[in-house]
Amino acid sequence: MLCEKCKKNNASVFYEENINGKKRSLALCSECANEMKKNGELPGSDDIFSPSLFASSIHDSLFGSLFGSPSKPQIGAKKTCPVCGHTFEDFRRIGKAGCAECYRTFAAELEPTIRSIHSNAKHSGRAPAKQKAKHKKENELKALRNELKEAIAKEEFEKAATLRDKIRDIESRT
Amino acid sequence: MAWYNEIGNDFDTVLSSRIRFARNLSAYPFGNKLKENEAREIISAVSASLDGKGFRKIDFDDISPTEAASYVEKHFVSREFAAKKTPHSLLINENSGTAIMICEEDHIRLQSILPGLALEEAFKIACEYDDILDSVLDIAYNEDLGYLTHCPTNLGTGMRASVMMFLPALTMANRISSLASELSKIGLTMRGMYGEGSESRGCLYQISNQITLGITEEDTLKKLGDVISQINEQERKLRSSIKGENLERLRDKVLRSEGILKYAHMLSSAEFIEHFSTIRLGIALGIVTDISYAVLGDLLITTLPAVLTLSSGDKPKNDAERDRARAKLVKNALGK
Repeated sequence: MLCEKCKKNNASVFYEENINGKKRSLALCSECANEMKKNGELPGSDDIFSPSLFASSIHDSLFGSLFGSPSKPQIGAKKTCPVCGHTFEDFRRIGKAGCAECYRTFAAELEPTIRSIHSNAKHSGRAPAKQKAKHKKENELKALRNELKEAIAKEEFEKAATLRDKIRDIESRT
Repeated sequence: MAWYNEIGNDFDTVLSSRIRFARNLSAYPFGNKLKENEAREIISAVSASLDGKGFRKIDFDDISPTEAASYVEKHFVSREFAAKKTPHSLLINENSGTAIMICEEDHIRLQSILPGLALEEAFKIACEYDDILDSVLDIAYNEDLGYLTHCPTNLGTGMRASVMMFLPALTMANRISSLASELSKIGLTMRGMYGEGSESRGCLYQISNQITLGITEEDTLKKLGDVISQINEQERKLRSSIKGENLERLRDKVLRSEGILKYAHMLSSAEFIEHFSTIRLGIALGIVTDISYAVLGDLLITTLPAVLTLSSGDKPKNDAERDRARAKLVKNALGK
């Protein structure tokens, strides 16, 4: 995505704020973000936009700024993970999850932050073998169900019956 | 033998390559929510899954702080891991350069470290053990966010690939900070040798990927590998441009460093690293011929305080005693 200010460079800094319900979001390239920060058009400490060579972690500072300061009202701050009891406020404060389930519980709240860290929110790469098998099964079923729908629409009932049996067979596999 | 005293590819500019995977067990909470008995359960489950694969298990509760620090100095564990108060163990297989921290920030931190530029090979080794863990344990993962980690900065592949580079010419030419800012624009980071927060010592820098979500392991390795070869080219070009009077001055500096390392009676860690880097450049430029990269690389680790203390017969008790032990070790290794 392009920087909203210069409309030339790719955006690498994503800024969001929510002050008393008034939302503002900006996607900027690092040059424009730096310039706006210098002009006081954007809040934040110096290390947010200009990571120095040995900054302990750019993400530590990103977290603070993207979630907003604790005094600002936070949507969903009281939401609690049913597995570990981590609240979204806890996540914001320490910048870390309490358990694997937290990522599902706070999926919506975390999405902008995750996107700002990685410029992406969809994994591609290795997966545990069990997950791979599960994905394969899900994809297979999805394809067969579509075929079944089509067969019924075309009134090809014999084909539909075969497909139905095939789906049942796959579903019964553990 | 270990990553630091063997010779690898592109050894004039690259000391080592490392791949690290962050993994968690889906049934257990993260960080300080993990109870002691749960941490012990994880330690036994992970150790059991790699039984018979040549790993040695070290329970960090049972070892001295000096021994714990020696594993940090050898880059097998993080400082945070060594300092933890709750149960944590290391599985180590020196032959394959693999170390697995159990109950660090994440339940499992698997790393493979090899000498020289060897990202692909290190990745292959890490995958081999990751596959074994995955076949036995229930690893936290979801389709959108990939491997689920304590800190969102590791989501996705959970992979940190890093290369330790020796860049004296770029350092002398004041090119490091501009290089670091260029790298940050393409999702890579550059740090001093001992990881986050430390200063660059001996012109040694660690370059690694920052982004882990939305990019495959292979693409990350390719991107990092391409950048490393560009930096290699710049560094070598600068080195070969040192000519005439400048080369004579450098030759003088290198030989003086060699003299200090061979004859000093006391050597601090910082002083050693300074001369280490001058001599290493001297080897690359053919000025030094009687010292090998392997001997020098070994000294880089064995002169560090904790490793040095453990290996010295008459355990040095203070800095002055350690500085004498260090000078003796270096003198012996360099054949004086």
